Amino acid sequence: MDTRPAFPARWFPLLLAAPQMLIVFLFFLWPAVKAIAWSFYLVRPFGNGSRFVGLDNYLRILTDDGFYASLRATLVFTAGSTLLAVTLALALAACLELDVRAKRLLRSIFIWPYAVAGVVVGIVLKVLINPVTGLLAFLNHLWPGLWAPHLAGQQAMLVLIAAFAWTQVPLNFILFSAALQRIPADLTGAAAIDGAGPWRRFMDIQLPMIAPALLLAGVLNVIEAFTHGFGLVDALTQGGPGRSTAILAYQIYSDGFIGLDLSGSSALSVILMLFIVALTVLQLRFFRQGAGRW
Amino acid sequence: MALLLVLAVPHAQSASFEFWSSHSGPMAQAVRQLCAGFNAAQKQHQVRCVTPGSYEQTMQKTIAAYRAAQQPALVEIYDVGTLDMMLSGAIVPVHQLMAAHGYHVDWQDYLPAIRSYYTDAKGQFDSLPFNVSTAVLYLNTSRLQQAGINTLPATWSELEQAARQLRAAGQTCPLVSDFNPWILLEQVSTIEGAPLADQDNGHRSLATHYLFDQGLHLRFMQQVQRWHQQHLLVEAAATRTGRHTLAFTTGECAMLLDSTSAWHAVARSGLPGLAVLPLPVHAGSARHNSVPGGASLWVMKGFDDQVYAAVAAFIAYLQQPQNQRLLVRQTGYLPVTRQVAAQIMDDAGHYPASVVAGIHSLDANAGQPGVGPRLGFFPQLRLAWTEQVQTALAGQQDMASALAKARRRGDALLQRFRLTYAPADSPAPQR
Repeated sequence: MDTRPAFPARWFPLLLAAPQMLIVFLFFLWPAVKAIAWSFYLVRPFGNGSRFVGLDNYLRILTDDGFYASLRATLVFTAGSTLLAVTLALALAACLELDVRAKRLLRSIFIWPYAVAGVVVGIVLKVLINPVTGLLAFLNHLWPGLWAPHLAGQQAMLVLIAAFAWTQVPLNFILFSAALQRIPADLTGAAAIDGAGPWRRFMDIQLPMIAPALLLAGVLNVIEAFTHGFGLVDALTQGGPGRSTAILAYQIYSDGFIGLDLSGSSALSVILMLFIVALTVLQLRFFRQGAGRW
Repeated sequence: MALLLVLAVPHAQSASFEFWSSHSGPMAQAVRQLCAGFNAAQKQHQVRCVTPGSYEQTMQKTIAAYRAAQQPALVEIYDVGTLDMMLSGAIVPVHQLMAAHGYHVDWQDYLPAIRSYYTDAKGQFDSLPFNVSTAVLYLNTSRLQQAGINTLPATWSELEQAARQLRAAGQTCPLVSDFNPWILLEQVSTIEGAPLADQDNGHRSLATHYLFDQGLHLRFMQQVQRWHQQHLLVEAAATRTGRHTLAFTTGECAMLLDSTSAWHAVARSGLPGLAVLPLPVHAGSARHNSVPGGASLWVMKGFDDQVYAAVAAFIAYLQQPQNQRLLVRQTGYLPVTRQVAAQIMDDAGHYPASVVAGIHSLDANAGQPGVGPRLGFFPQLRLAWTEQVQTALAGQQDMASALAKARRRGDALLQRFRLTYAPADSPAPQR
């Protein structure tokens, strides 16, 4: 007997899917199409005219030092925050697999930061990194001017990476905790009886077995950093000092919404879109291979 | 919105409309008061005052709303959006609106600096100057006296001297600024009659290149860099609160470069011995008028005559001297007409000290009225300037190369802007 659900008419399933399809079309596909179209024009913000310029917008961006500064910032920010967020979450999740007290409580506490918006993190951090009263102000007593995130680009970037990683740890932590709990206790137990310490068990049993979760977390973090680092940058550094923290997502916002340069901002977002597509394709390929192996 | 307008039609002659403005604090309160005042003063028209967000957000939302045919009839747009609005094809020039509805406005009475900023090539107002501010120097005179300074600084070198003495007397932060180009680039240059860009700062026709990488501005910024190195001028981000106005009101810093509209934050702190002066000039330079910052009100296209009659009535209400004075007294923004400016100067004790200094600064006259920059993609130029100046202050390059880079980026922006607004069938402007 055929157990697949049967619909009375061909249009009925489509109707059920329609709201979702409409949302995807209106809020994801249509803007993307519009951005691609605008990127070949010089667009006047109020829509009273536009001029076709072919690839000029792209050529201008690709020959602009500022773009490469933004790109560098994006890569450093993405790599740094992903690495940090994955490592921290992994450490926390692995520790909770050991025999520690208040496991349940800690497990829920580690998830809390997920509920905090990027802008709020930015505002709180602004207070914490203040060079006179903040957490690291003591550095300026040791050596005046040592801690100056408003002037030193690397320091500002470090703050951003730490802050963004902090917001990403919870999701990773959930993923890793779940993956670790799926590992049969027999395996770790047997290893313990054979004399393997926690570190050894982690490296040889747990880590290989949660590799797919690691990969997934990496993918999600990278995409998140590419696209959603913006709120934090806006609240914390506005892309400065210099252009050291002007990640592409922020640059798109700032060119398009503050500068009213809709075409330049569209071209930039198409470039970002291409990056993300390439990244996703790569990662999906990894996943397929990974699924076969594990 | 459209529906409301349709409903409003049967009651002939009466109309309601939306007015978008972008303030919080005392200015938001003043706007609410003016709206309520207008609605109470007559029964015919109704204004609904809405606050979509910051200046930038109001601009973004106005554009989005206009493209979706949901625009407000009247909207407040910040100074740097002026050129975009003028070229938008989306507005009804305010002088035209008032004339069409039978109001005889004495536009010549507007302060020359404001007139030169907000009028088109024919000298006609496209928008209504509403809340005008300018940059001034706030001083904590009791700190200055403690450091042995008894004459208030009127020139940049006197200011430097005062900062030195304050520092020597133990003031860790003599002068504070947020290094906003609005003050350090635009105001300082215009006050000394140095245009930022060609074509009279973009007033004669669309500007083609910037001029700030040499002469006055370069010398000034080199001076600023030296003050910064010697801790005479401290960046807001390096103070306890991270904000320049608060750094001054808490006494951490003794002198502050800020807008006239910072008055309430400053006055509320109850700082003893507060004094406000126009921004300094270099010794020996003639003082020109400063740039009118703030925002103006734009009438949007797309409404019928009844709505425009209501908008015109509201604008006439805002122009009344007592309403201008209300706004000035409550906010520290400046009067826009000579008549009201004179009334305020005669009764200076009842108005914020920043307003008196601001009027002096805005109405300074060295022959020709100086024109503030009205340039395309100007918010991006401000960002480029900030970016480069920050790296210079951090010691990664010298000020001359920082300003040269900002200028190059700015020139490219101007060129793109001209290309964007070149008539569609005309050849592209020369590169």
